[in-house]
Amino acid sequence: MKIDIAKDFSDTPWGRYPDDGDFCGEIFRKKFLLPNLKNASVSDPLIIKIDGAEGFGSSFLEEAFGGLVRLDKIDPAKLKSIIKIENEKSSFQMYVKLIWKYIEEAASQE
Amino acid sequence: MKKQDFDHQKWLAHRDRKNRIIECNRKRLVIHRHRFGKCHAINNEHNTGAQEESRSGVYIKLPPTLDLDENYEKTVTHFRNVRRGSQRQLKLKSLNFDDIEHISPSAALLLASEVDKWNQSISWRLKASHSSWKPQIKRLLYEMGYFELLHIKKPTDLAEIKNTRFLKFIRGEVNNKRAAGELAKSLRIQIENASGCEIKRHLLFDGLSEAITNVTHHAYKSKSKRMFRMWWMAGAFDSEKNLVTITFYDHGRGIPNTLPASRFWEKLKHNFSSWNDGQKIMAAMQAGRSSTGRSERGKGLQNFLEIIKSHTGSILKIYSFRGCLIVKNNENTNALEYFQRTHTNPIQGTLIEWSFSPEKAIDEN
Repeated sequence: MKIDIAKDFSDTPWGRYPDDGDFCGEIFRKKFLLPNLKNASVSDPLIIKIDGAEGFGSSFLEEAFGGLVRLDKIDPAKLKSIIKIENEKSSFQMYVKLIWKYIEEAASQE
Repeated sequence: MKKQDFDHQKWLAHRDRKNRIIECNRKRLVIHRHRFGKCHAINNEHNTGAQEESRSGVYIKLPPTLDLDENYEKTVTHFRNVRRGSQRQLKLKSLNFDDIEHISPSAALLLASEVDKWNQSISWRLKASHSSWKPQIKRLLYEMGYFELLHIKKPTDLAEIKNTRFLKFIRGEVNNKRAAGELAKSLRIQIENASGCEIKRHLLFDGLSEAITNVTHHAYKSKSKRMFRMWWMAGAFDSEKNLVTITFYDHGRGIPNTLPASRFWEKLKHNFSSWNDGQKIMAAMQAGRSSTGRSERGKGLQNFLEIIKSHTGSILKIYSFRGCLIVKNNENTNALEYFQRTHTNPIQGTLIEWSFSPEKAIDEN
């Protein structure tokens, strides 16, 4: 399973809530991450391709990925085993770190 | 005297006092009263045939230097008067650009936002006569989109482009749910075309998208009218210094007015009015500080710093209400240096300005 954020969702994802915009973190989490995570497993992880997007504000990333732990109560250890973030651009490596950081922070606040 | 008569006398005295205060304030704000027939910069010509009251109005002459660094107090005071005019607190009839000799990218965006709002408030009926504007100012404002905004043709006597080019300003609305990301992308494309350099698009997008998110969440009260819930952004490129300047502005309540005093000493200082606006913006830059009080929020302002961290010698300036925070990337050490100050006059909203040289990008690996 693979989600290419730029192609499947938007190349300009931004904002946290639907009030911010149609390409916000909450909509991405509910419409793309959660349905695909139901079928993901260690042997068949969900691959999320982040290249191609213009960028990712922290509100988007926190709501989309931190929200999986904070709101959907998914175990962060399980997420680490069933999500694989893919990027080719070295400049986008910072987003991979941020995604895991927000997941960990959400877990620590539980 | 009966009690009823006494109350009426009291009310009349109160009304007279109130009228005197209003008149006094108007005189203080107005540079001078102006007969409509002599207006020549930007006129609302729709009112030309109207009665005595609309034949007279306020005339504001903008100063030679419009720049938040060099002439902050005078610049924001003039813009505040333009805002009051567009909100009908003053009978603003004319805005004179003739004396402007220098306008910085940030001041140009402030001016564009005020003129844009004024124009909207009178259903796009502003007219302009630009024959006496300085040639370079006319060129810069043309590039910025003033002429399109005012529905006037491209002037035939535009000066040659010198070192600085302004890019067309972009207006966004809080409730436009699809456009914001695309608008941020279009500004980046304009900058790359003007500078001929590829810029770190993801860092610029992160900063702009978080600025837009902040406006949606914090800047305006939810009951504000649609036309009062807007934001503007623009860019400029100085070919001599190879310097890109990007500005983002909203007319909201400002960071100092929305950030809660969350720590004991801050509450204490706030109560004694010694926690100034510059310090409040500095506090807001700390990760995790948000007016919502929720731990997952308040990360956005950190995004403003990313493009500064990644360009040697770059500068971030945040003007919000009376406060100003300046973050500089030290040319030699790449360390970030913070400065804050508080002004006398408020900027009425929040303005964020990034300036960096694309060729001084720091390798992220």
